[in-house]
Amino acid sequence: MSTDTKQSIQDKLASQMKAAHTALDTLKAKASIAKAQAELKAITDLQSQKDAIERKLNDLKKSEEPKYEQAKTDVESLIAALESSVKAIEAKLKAA
Amino acid sequence: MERMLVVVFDTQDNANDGSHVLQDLDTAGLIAVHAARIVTKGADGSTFVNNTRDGLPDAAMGGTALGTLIGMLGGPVGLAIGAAGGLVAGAAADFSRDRIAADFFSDVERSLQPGKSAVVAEIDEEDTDAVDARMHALGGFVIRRAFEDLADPTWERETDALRQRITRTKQSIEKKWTERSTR
Repeated sequence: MSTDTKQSIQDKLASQMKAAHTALDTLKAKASIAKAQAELKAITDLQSQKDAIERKLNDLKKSEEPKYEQAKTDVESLIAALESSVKAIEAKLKAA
Repeated sequence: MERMLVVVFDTQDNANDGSHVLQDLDTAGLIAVHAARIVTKGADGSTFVNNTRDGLPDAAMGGTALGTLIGMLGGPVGLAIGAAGGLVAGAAADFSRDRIAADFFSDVERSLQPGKSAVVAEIDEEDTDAVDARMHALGGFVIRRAFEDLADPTWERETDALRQRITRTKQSIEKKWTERSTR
């Protein structure tokens, strides 16, 4: 895998992480206003999990073949799981 | 490249020669031998371990991949230290056991038949030619595995744990919503 391809993959993942960070901040503000304690706790947990994924993304940047491909797949699946959780809370707070 | 090396010989004398060759290659700067032992399978299947000249004491072998491999082959080093050394050494032994891929262990176990001896070593080599040529000349059968080719158990454990945490967070909030909606 070329360095450019790796950079492009990492940029895309970093962009997804930034979007998740912004979404969690927005959700936290909404949940605080609504005094939605359960949602606030879940958002705080997700923020800590997002930080852990960011550390994994940094590890991915340093990893070499043949481990790179598996590490990329793992980070992508973690981000997808995080995004799914964020969207579920977004939908619920919107409906409330 | 850091590798686990196993060279199986028909006799212990040949394994001793193989061990000396390995140390000579280290002295010549062609490879670096981090630790090595000679493992012999007796005719009754029992396992004997002899020291080489690497200088690493048995007490330091328990948490190493080499010590664990010897323990898995029935030798005393990995298991004895793992059991006697308490949680930390035990955890180190678990980690090392993870690093020894099952297929690698099967290859070694299959080759090390009763009556045969093997030089087992953790080495660093850039090129496999030097070791292969010298060991084949002594009648040795070479099995090696690069540590970096093996799965990284720490990464896998952390990733799985993180995935489970995210799933649990989502499930816990969904459970709260279900409880609210049924009130």
